[in-house]
Amino acid sequence: MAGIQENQQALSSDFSLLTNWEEKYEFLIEMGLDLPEMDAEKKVDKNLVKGCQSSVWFDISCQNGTLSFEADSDSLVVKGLVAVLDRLFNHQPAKDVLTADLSIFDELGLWRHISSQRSNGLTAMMAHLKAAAAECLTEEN
Amino acid sequence: MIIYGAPSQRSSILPFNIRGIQHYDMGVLLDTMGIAVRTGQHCTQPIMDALHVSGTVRASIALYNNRTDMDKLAYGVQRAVKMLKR
Repeated sequence: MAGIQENQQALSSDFSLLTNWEEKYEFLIEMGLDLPEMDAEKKVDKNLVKGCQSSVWFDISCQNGTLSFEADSDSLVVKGLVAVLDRLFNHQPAKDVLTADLSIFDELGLWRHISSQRSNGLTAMMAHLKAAAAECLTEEN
Repeated sequence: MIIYGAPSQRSSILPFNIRGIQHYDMGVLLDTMGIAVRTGQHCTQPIMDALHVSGTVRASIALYNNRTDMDKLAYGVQRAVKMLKR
């Protein structure tokens, strides 16, 4: 399976074909729509990411040091951002998720289009994943 | 489009939703087009509960807004609907 670096390069290559914010948002929305629906029973408080204005749920599991998750949001744009995180970090070693950053959103040209509230939400989602990655590593050791 | 409130009592505040579109999605796309609206519950959770909505988009029209701004808002909403309606 490709690592975070390779996933990042593949995403950059996809986004490099898009020339304006409208195309980027449309692509992001499409990515979100391609994410599998999350079961309603997983949309519970314990899976809710705090710090997002719209509702975002992550159901995260850890197996042999690998972090896997299902995620969803009631906002299509946020679901697109979730899909980017899914492509980058799902089924990746927890130690790699723990050291990853969000510079990819700069590279994709998305950061400047994301409002401060949404970027706070993105930071909150990343913090949520990193906390789960740290927990996953602790369980392993 | 659902416009909330009583038209005869409304001043220049226009809270609305588009069926099937999350208010926050509409807000972020309008923002990208340079149109400032507020989205969410506007610190009026009991009203949102009574309306059975999680939030609304709210355009607040002021003295300095003109016809062009209104046209931009209408065009922006149509453009966002095209992008978000699935």
